[in-house]
Amino acid sequence: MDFGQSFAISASGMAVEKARLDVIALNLANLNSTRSADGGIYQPLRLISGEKAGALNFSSLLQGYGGGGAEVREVRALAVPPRLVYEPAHPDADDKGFVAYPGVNQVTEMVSLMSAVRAYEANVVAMSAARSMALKTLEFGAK
Amino acid sequence: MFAESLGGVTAQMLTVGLSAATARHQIIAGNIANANSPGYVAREADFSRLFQSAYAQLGGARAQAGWGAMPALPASGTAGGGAVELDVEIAKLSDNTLRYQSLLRGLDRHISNLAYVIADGRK
Repeated sequence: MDFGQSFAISASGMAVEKARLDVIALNLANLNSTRSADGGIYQPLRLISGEKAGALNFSSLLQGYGGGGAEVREVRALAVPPRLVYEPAHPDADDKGFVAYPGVNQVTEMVSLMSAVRAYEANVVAMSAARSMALKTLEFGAK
Repeated sequence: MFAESLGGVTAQMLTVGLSAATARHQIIAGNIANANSPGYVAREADFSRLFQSAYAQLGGARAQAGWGAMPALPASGTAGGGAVELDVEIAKLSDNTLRYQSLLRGLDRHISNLAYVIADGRK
């Protein structure tokens, strides 16, 4: 009974969801940024996760299952048009008086946020299930 | 190995069941970890073939009655699902944990019986 792998799988899932929360927080933090780090307009980012390749100890038992949890594949900038707001007095306004704000969709971000939180909690539940199984194994033959 | 020398078929099957429950937990944990991975197909443990071959091997060695009472782990198709459904996975997870604990309890009782026999019926 190797519970280390179970813990590692759940930990990888938690790490991915934590990174997803970071990216969502970054998007929300730049909701009203008119300048990005490279001078252009901030593009909302999306974290793409995928299955981590890894050999399990029970791979022979499982006939080909080779999953080792989840991992962050890439953080991609979304090609969304900026949100144009008419503010002629703004220092970053263009010659027509429009200011380009990032096209961050707050609703999408909040839904992704909640989904990431729930997924994180599910990973915690899986980890505590592995923990209770490991603890029961320790009690084995104690009487 | 203990199971082969002392425990007999019961201990061997319980050990196989415990290994299967551990492996099943890893599959469910992998599904949950990939809950938000695009394109990930939820996996399901398929132990039916494994158990059938184990039954056949053990049963061929020592023919015993009462195989139907063995713990039946779910036998669903592999990689047949679609996207990960968290509620389903959590339900499968607690089911699996319960199975694991009952298998462990069974093995514990079995070993208690052995200890009782070894002590010549005295407690």
